[in-house]
Amino acid sequence: MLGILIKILLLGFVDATSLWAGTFLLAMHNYLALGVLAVATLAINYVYLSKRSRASRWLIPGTILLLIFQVYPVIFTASTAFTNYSTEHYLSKPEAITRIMSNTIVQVDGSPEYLMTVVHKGQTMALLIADVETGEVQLATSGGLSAVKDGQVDADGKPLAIAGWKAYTGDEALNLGDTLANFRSPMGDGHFMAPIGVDSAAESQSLLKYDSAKNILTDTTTGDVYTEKQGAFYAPDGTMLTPGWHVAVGFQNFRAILNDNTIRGPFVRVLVWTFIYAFLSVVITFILGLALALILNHPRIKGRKALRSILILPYAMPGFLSVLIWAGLLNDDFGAINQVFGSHIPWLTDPFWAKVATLLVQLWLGFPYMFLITTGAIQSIPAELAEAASVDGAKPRQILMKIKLPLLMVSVTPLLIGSFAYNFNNFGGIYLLTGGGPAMEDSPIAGATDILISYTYKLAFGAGHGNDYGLACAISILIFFIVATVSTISFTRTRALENLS
Amino acid sequence: MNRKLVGLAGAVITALLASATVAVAPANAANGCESNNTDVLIWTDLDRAQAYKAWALVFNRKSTSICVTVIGKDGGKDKLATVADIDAPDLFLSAHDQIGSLQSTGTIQSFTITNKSEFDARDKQACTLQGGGTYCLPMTVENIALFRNVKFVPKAPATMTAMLADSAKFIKGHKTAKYTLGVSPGDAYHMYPLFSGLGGYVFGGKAGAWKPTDIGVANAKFIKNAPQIDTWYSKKLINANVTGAQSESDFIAGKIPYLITGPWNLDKLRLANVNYAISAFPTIVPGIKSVPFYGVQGMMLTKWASPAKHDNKTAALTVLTGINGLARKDAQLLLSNSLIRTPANMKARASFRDEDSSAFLAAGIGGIPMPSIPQMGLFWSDVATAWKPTVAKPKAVARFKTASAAMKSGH
Repeated sequence: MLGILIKILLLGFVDATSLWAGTFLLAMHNYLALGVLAVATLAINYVYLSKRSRASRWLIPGTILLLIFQVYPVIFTASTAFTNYSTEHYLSKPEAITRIMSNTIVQVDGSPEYLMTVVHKGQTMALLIADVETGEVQLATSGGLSAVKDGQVDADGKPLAIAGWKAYTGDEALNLGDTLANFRSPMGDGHFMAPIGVDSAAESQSLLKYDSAKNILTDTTTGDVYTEKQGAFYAPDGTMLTPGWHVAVGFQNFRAILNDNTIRGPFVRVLVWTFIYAFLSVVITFILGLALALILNHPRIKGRKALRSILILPYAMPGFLSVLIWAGLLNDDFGAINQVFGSHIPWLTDPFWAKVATLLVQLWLGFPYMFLITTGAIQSIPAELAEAASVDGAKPRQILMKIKLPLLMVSVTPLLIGSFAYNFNNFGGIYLLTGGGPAMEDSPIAGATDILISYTYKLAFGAGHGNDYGLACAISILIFFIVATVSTISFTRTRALENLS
Repeated sequence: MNRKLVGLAGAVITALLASATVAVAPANAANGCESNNTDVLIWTDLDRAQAYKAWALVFNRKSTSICVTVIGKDGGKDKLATVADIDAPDLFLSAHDQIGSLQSTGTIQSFTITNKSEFDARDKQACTLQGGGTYCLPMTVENIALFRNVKFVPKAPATMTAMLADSAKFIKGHKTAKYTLGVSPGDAYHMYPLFSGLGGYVFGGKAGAWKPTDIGVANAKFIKNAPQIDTWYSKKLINANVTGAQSESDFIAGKIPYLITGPWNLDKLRLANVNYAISAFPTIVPGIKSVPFYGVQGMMLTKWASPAKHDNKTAALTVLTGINGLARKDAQLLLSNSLIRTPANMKARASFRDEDSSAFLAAGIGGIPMPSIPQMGLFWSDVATAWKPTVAKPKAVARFKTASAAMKSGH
């Protein structure tokens, strides 16, 4: 009975959420997503209401989460890597052209300032405009402008309605919507009077003309022709007209990584340091964590629980905050570390010491994790093994090296590989501490402590052209292959360890 | 249990949950608006939200048909990239140098300032992009200036020689002082007066028509004067490890005599009980004026104020340049008085009185509007790096040449 009630409640919640999401998709005319949603919702209902699909009930939640959080981002990243999706290529082509055409309407230089009242005669709309300087009133209809004799203006300077024409109130004028916004009164020479809001107007002109058949833009004053090239219109002199739109560019992002000297030059240096950083981070945190775990596992140490809790503290604090605090502590001239020790170590400005600093901070952040997992692993090793060894005459050091450590490595190695992969992409640990710096001779972007991921970030988001998502995705794919290769090799090696037990 | 009953219960619960999840439209009561008004949503940063909310009350009372709502958001520019259409603003307040990137993503659209004769040419230029479109309405203007603690430096230094002499005198009396001019060398914006004073420039051309290929970061004149930078470090005028926050707190604590900052720190300094004075930057090389970047806070018209999205472009334009709108004297004066910033509208500026704001304005005379083209991102990162000496590159000349080459290569 309770089971049925819970089932009804949960399914009801899922269906209600789908209905709610469906109304939004319908309003956005996104019928593909709506179809997917409908099929998914029906499938979920079928699986949990039918008696025949017992097995799928356990698989469905996991499968859905896998699709949303793993498969979709991977497909999205991989497909974006082959486009020019970036700050200047953000829109679709129709959106970009609409935007370009709306941006190209400008006020004519030297034209006077006008206040406006929207008037109508039956269904015909017109603008009454008053020159703010002279107070002269004109009537602008869709046919053109004509002077109004003895036109009057109110206290604000807005023209008052004239005989034969009725003024719209503010509400009415706003409700005209597009009819008012798109109203144009031709003035010759390509100029026109256009309303700006509900109470002012400006003599305007369109600087560009779009020819959809030829797919070109023409400058109405100079006659220059803008032609399309890879997701944007370009002027004859090569300047790009923003905004552009996103198009597929094939392997261009990958070629850019391989061909561009500023990217390729420091790549090897950055890659080598990334491996050193990730490897050393794992090794030093593991050694310290293991040492502390062994010490605190000894029965003769007093207050072990309290000590263990204290040691976990660095892990309990948000890592980003700790890194920022460390950046302050390590400041060469004003940091607490140099001041307390009276030292003059250039922690953040010397390439060598900056590398030491990143590793030290990582040691502080990472050892509690290693401490935790090794404590758990040590405690799970049966005490009889050590006893048996000591009966056989093994010394404590031999017990540790020959019995405990090998057994420990079986359970801990996969975690060490995971930790390596994490540190390989440890963006926060580098970027927040040194910003990748100090700057190096060979590259304007890659500093001495930059690892691949922080270098990628600087390339794709830090440089001058805004955010280059296409390039970022391309580099992430390359990084994925590097990490995947390293992990595969390591896991194959780990199997050898498993034979021990 | 009866199967039909279970099905019925399921349907009823689904319907109940569905009706609970459908959000009820928020009321506009707080703005004093009527329900049938056209809504216009403005995003400002958190600091300015209060002043704009106060202005919105006045506007909503005068304009019966439009309802302006103001929301304060920090990091608004990034949020524009991900905001849902239904929550997106129609007008967005930000520094004018953002218009380049916001235009190239299609986030903002151009519009006409109908009363443009009431604005200064430099302010209008700041809001203009290549192609001639106007992308922001200048609201308030701002630039950095030189603050000095009158207790240590009674008279504003007219030249860098005088400043270095003051600095040496201060260090003599304060043996532990590691620097005297409060500014972070890793911040190309606050360092710009020193950069321009040595003959440096960012791009050739002028606002609205910058030439991104003409890069003046290592021009001959600047390179000739750049060795002075090394002297500033060795004489402890500036220190490469200082952050902006540290220089502010050191100035307030009386640990340094000089600070380079803008009007956004006025509140803090006024409360801090420091006897400060604001002045223009000292001349470094005879014949070259040391000027800061000049900036305006601009109100931008977003893509959401269009027929396809919120369908309220006419209303948004009325809020911008209508007779009760943000472009007019009354609105600008009201806002400037509560923000303590110089208004952009010249009629409002004529009635605006604030001693510190006038001092800032004077320090900004001759300052160029901060370039808003996307290539400016290169300047921020590359020149910030060039200012800081490293073990590998102790000489300023070499560092600025690297920065110039990097900017030319597009990185």
